[in-house]
Amino acid sequence: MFSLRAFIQAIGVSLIITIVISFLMGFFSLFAFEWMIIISFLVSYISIGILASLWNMKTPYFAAFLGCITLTVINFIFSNFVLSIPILLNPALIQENFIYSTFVSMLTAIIVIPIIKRREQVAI
Amino acid sequence: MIKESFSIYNRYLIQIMLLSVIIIIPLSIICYFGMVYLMQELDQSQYANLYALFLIIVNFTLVIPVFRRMAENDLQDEEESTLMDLIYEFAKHFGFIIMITIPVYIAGVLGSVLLFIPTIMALLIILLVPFFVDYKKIKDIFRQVGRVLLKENISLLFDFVIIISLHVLVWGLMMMSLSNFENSVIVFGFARSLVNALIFPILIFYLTQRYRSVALTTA
Repeated sequence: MFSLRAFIQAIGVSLIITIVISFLMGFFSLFAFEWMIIISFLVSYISIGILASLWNMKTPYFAAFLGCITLTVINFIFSNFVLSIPILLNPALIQENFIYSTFVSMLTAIIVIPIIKRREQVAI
Repeated sequence: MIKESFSIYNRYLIQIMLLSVIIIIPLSIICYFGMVYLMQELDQSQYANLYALFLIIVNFTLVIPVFRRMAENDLQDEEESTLMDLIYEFAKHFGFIIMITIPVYIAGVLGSVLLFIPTIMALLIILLVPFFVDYKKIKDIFRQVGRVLLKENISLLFDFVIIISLHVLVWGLMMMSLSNFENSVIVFGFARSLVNALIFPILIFYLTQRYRSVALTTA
């Protein structure tokens, strides 16, 4: 069964990783601005793809999919209400965002899940 | 209870110092810089103060599960948990506390129209939820929170007064020594994180003994 606690836990840990890495990049100004955005995007969605499927081994693909959708919606809500960027007025941008984020995290899940299953079989 | 919390602080001093270097100081610095960023960037009409208050509250509540576990291990004579366990405890409950805190905080802010009664209730729930996040079911967590709320309803507000006044006291003492130096945002951030690292463990040990003992006796 799909366990909500493990799902929320995966979202939290992925948020921690994203916050820490983007804070370090911004504090020491390691890269150019575009690279920082791309790296934090990749880090957040790759980590949700790994962690949500790792802690929800009964329904791994669904957990990874739902996790990346949730993170994207959280991003939209944050940028709309807190930073007041009118992002919800542009449907093409929203669709693009959803496609990229699902693509990255589902690709990670497809690569990672067979590895986890094989390791479990070897351990047993 | 205060004496007991000081003795726990004394017993696990090295672990507490390591945890404050690993968890509390980076968390406080991130929260403080986020606060400064929001106060500078947002307009007057966007209410940056509310986000700053949210970051201050989250800065305290996110640390609670780590030290709650440490205090409970000591009070119930269990095995002392390792450093890795405690850091994992922080990462495990991060998402749940954030997910509870954001809607309750929004409800509290919107409810400030009604003579601040929903605001006080929301703040109490935000304070109490992190002490019970280790229960398996989400239903159990809210049941325990409701039990503590009913058991000591008005004296929870005195806990608020204790938390806030301790902060102000230590912050004031620290600023007396720092006032002669050249101050900047980074100095304030580090001073604030040091204050947090000093106060948070004692406060959490004290509050754990209050709330968890109530929950344990009535369960």
